[in-house]
Amino acid sequence: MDFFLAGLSQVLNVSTIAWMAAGSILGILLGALPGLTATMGIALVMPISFQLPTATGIGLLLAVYCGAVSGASIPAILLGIPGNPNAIATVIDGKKMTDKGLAGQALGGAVIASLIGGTGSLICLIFFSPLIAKATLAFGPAEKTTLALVGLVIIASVSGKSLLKGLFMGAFGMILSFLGADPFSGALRIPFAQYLSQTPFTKGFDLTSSLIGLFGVSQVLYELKNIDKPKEPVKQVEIKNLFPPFKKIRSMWKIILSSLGIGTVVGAIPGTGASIAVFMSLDSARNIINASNGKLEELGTGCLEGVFAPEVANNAVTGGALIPALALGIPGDSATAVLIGALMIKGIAPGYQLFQQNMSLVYAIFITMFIANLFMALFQIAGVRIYPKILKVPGGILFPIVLALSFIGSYAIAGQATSVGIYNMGIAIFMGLIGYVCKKDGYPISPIVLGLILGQMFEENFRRAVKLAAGNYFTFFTKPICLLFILLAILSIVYPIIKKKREK
Amino acid sequence: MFKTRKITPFAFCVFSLVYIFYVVQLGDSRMLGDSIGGDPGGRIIPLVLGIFMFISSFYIWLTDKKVKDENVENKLNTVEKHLLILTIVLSLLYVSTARIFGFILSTSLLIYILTFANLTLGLQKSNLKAFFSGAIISEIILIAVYTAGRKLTRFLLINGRKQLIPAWLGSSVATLLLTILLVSVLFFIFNILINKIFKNKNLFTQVKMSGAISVLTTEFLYLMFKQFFLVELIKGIIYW
Repeated sequence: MDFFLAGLSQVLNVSTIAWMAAGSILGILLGALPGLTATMGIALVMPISFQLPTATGIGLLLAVYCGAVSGASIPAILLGIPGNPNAIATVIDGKKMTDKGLAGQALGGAVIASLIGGTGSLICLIFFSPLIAKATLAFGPAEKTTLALVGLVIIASVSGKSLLKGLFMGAFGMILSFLGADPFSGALRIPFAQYLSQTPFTKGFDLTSSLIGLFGVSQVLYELKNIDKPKEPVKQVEIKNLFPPFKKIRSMWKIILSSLGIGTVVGAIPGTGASIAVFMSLDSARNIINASNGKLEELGTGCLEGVFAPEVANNAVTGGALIPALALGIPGDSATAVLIGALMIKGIAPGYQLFQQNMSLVYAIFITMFIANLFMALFQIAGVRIYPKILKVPGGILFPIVLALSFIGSYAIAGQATSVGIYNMGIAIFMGLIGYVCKKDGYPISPIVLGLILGQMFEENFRRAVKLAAGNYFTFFTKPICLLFILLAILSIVYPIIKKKREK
Repeated sequence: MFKTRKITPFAFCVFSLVYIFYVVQLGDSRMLGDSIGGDPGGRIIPLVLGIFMFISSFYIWLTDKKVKDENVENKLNTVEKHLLILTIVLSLLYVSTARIFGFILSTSLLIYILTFANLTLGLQKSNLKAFFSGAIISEIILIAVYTAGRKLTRFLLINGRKQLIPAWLGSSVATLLLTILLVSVLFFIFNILINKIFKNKNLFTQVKMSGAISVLTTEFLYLMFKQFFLVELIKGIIYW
């Protein structure tokens, strides 16, 4: 109770509430505007969160995250274009409801579903993350090494079409994380060290600037391909009867529960994300509808069931993805990878230590997550007639602003050090170009982020483990937890290969 | 060879090879105080990763061949290519010249040029006159707005501290809000003036839009990071 009150005191102040409200509105806008993503939004506000107290900063990031995941349903319902891949399944029934003159109910329903998904998965987060974190008490350097390995391999195997490309990008992220000083000897590991030893290069690759480059700059460059394409006209849609009847919502309780479970579990598996969860939830909803003897409407006919299932699931992913992120330091998706980066910048290492030494912050994170979900619902309902107008803003105006914010953001991380700030902006451009090339050629970029985050953890624990075993490299095969993780890593490599062969 | 195979995996292949040589020439670094031994050293993981990257990128290069008409929607037309190159070049210029020109000038120019180019789908010769006049006017407005905002901020902060004005007026939040108010009023006045001076509506909308976006965004970012978060932004030419 003391921790809860301490956490509450960190959150319940004007500054945190105001920043979270702003973050929520910004998130909804980012989610609603096609081409801008939740991860990009978090990466862009990260430099701002860095300047704020920890709980306020995390609250701001979570508000953007929840807002962006939910906001994507607005263009999906009104225009039939998902704001980002999270709302890809909402399009099917959402747009048909709009065509039937039920846009208000679809939008209102999406908000209620998002709120149920977000808060439901938060309850799972509160219940499971301390338990998982406690289990990590038994983890020594060898277990941590294999945990980092399994996190990397899973995200590499599921984040793109090609397993090898995913693994390659993970390795690429890891070697970038090695630039700088050797964690044990302090020796410089940068090219041309004799010339660059007095420059910011010695600090290695700044994580925030890399994330801003990968998700902000690269997205701007990538979206330029759509700049001269005619924009989908935003029709004037009459929005009335915002809330669907309670009786209708109650009749969908099985769909809600199954989507909540799917979203939370899928979110907790590293590398999967909302775009997978939404289709799984639709599939499950279809089975429930078939077994309902006509009590529920058929999917694809413009029904509320088709909006509720994906919207509960994609918001449940937010809480689910935070379970491994907070408990193990392994992000569930690229957005939580950025959140972990934000925690690390603040000097907070996720895992059992966080739960043991900083429990009030953990509670503050849970409370901010709850407030973020409330704000998301509140501001989406309040602005339901305004957001469609914002969809008219052309990308040509937005992209230069995003680019400038990316540069200033990476500069600001350095605080008062001008040369470090300029170096950070250079990293943002470099990673932006890398991200652009990768996106264009079908290389997934989330494994790079994981590599950047887990690279150092992997190397440090690997060396510690081998040292403790007096140079025995087989120490990883002598511990049961390590063997379990290695087995998981092998499975996540072998399974997609077998699946592909079967499909052929 | 490159007609049928993609260039990206080849570039990654070369990069991996260079990385392996770099790791080898870097030498090994051991844990401090590792007299008993057992530390595998700082070279092993980078080396293993480098070799893995080389083999995998080589394999991808061999197998991932170009397919005719593949990714048609990913292919850029002339306008898009032009805008992509312009964005990359301007970004590089922004970073390399930020120290000389300072945050205010370089950020507003970056935003102005890119917004104008995006709205007119490339910087065409016929638009250059409007483009340059718009750039000059928006820079003048920005400097005027910035200077007025700066003077007001200093006045409030200094006099607030000396208690010549009510202390709350000198607080950082009140200063920020009053500066935003002043900047908005000034911007509004300039907007009316420009609308009266320039009557030609043809290209005027894009110029005005680009100018307004650049002035407002730059001023907003300045107020947010410099005044609110106290980040030391580069002053450059505009040293006051």
